[in-house]
Parts: sequence; C-alpha cells; structure tokens
Amino acid sequence: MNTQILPETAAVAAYVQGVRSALGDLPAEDVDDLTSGMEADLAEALTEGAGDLTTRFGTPEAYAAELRSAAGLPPATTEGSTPVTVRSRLSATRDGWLQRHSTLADVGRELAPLWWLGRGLGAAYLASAFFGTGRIPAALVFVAASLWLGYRTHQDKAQPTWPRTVDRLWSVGGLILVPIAVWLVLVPSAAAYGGGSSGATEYSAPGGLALDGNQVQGLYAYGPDGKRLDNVRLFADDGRPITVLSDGVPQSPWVDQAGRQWSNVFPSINPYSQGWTVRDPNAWHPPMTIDPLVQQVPDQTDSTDPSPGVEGAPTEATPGSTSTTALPTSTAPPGPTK
Amino acid sequence: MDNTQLVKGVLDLAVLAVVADEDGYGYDVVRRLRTAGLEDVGDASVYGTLRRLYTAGALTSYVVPSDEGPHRKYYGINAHGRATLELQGKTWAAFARTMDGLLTTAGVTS
Repeated sequence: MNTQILPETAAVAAYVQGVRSALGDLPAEDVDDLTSGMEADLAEALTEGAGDLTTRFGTPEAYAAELRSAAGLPPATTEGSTPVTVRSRLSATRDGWLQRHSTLADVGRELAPLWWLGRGLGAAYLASAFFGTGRIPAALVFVAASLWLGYRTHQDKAQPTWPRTVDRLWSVGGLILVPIAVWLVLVPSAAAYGGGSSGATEYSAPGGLALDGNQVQGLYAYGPDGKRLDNVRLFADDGRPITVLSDGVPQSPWVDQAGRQWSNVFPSINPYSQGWTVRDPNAWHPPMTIDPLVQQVPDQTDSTDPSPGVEGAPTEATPGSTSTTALPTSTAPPGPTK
Repeated sequence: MDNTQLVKGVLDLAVLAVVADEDGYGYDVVRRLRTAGLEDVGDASVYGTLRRLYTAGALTSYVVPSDEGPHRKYYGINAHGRATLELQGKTWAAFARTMDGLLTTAGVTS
C-alpha cells in the first residue's frame, strides 16, 4: 500500500495545509498537536476507500471545524457563523493586549528592584532634609525597608496584608516625591530655598548668626558696668567679623575714617531696629542698663590707685574703664570685610 | 434517529475502549471503531477526541517515524484513562439497562 501513497502526497499536503490555516487563530502548539501525523493518516485512509480527499472528508474548513468541536476548542473566530458576544470580544481584546504587552510587563518586573531602591533613597533624602537625620543611616534604613516591602509584596501576591498596603502607599508617594527630591538635588537654587545643604556654601556667603537654630537679627552689648555699648565690633574666634542677617538682609556696613567698611558693628541698623531703637513691638527691647558685672572696674585700669571709693563712685570710674576694658582693639584681628 | 448524535455522546468512551485494547494512531482508531460497528464516526471527530483525551491526561502520546512518508502519532491509555474508562463504562451500562428496560416495557425487543 505504500506505493499507492506517493501519488497522493501533494494533495494530502495541500489538504493538511488547508486544515492548518483554518485553525490559524489557535496557538501554534494546538495546531501542531491537532495536525501531527495527519498526513500519514489521510494517505492511508485514501488507500482504503474510493473518492478524493474532499469527498471523503469534506472541505478542509469543515474538517477543521469538526476537529475543533471534538477537541473541545472554540470555533474559529474569523468565521461569521458563530455570534461573537460582547463578553468574548472584550476578553479577546484583553488577551491580545496582555500578549502584546507581556514583554513590557516583564521589563517592569525586572526593573522593580531599581524602583524600590529609588523610592527608598527618596524617602531617606526627605527624612534627612526635614528631620535632620544623617543621610547615610537614613538611606540604609529606608532602602532596606523599601526592598523588604517590595520583595515581600511581589513574592506573596495572594496575601493582602499590611506590607502590601505600605508598599502601595510608598510607591504612590514615591511617584510624587521622588521627582521633587531629584529636583531639589539637581537644582542648586532650589536646594537653597528648600533648606538642602548641597550647594548651600555658595549661597550662605552673606553670613548670619544663629542661636539655637533661630536666626539672630541683632546684637546688643553692655559693658561691665551694665551700661550700653555703642558701635561695638564683634569677631568670631577665627577672626571673621560676626554679622547678622535681618530678614535675610545683611546690615549696612559702617565706613571708618580710613574708608574701610565694617559689617560687624552693633547695635546694627536693620529692618527691625535702628541702633538701640527696636521697631518691632513684639521683639525684646534692650534696657538702658543691666546689672553691673563688677564693682572694682578702676582696679584694672589703675593698680596704683587703692579702692576707697568702691561703693561710692561707680559712675565716675566707668568712663575711664570702658575705654580700656572694651574689646582689645590693639590686638584687633583682621580687618574689615571685603 | 440520526446515529451520529448517539455516537457523539459516547465517542469518548468508544475511543478509550479501543485504545485500552492496544495503542493506535488516528486513522487506526477510526478504522477499529468502524470495524466494531460505528460506521458513522467522523475522522476529524476521532482525531479531535484523541487530542482532547490527551489534553485531559487520559492518554499518552508518542510519535513513530516512518521509513516511507510522514511520521505517525500514536496514542496509548494510562492509569487515569483506565479509571475514566471504567467509570464511564459503568455509567453507560446503567444507562443502557435503563433504556433497555424502557424499551422492553414499550414492547420493543432489542
């Protein structure tokens, strides 16, 4: 019988091809399964009976439809014979979309750890910016927490537990806050306004003095006798003149007789005060005098002079003392600013 | 009554019974079914049934290369298939007895 198969081979191949194309909307695996070995079977069937393939088995399309039906597969979607419901159309659309975007979803899954790292760093940056925590410890803590949440949530999809909730909230927050954090880091001027310290050295040049974290707007000096000192020049331990910012504005510098400018003369003239006159009604008003520090001021100036008038003459002793016990102008450090 | 409708209902059972006797390829199964008396069975229906039973885990499958011409795909029964055959066989036997009873009562001799 084998000798009789050969002349029919081409017809059989064409018929099988017709069936395969009628099954074309199915996955290739299904098509192969359904038509594997079919050529041999058809050729053998032809040897046993009369008639060509179509009279024996019907059209390839009809044969394919019978195959589908018996195999429990859905009818061909390209044929209009079966009504297509809205539901099946929708699910076909969804399946097609998922198939087209499966690679995109795969890429997203593989990049997920990068996103966990990014949102962790973002949270660490915000924590260090607003709460002053160290950046390295904050980064370690937040990145570890973010990775843990991410891995736990994505490995255990079935459980709607609190890590999943936190993970989602963090991701949503990160989508909003990470771009802001990146912007603060990358744009120096934004960092200056946002309180970030990166690049702040360049913008903190005007100086300023802080006490317990609050900007000092002015300085008032009193002598050992408790009286106001006018036009005192103050220096820091490294010789830099101490300046204050009032509403972010440095005070107007004094110009001495040599033409040099002094920005560290107090009481300063600024938006809040004009010398000793404070403009802000809510601010502290410096008193005319405070309690004297020492009674024997003349001792320092004139050692030859005994101190008979300690009790009686503080007012007489002070004029002389102020000039000599004031800031050591003879050892005055470097001079004027700029 | 159209015999093809009856055959469709029992094709799983018939195919399982044929393959349980001996492994076979598609057309071989068709031929044995016809020889047994199910002349109206369709080729494609048998192939589709074999494939569905295989997908359901009731049959094993293997390809045998041929010296001349294309390869053949053989199907054989496995334990799950035998269990299915036994269960469906009992169901069929009970169904057949019921039908016999009905027909005997109606005076029709089978």
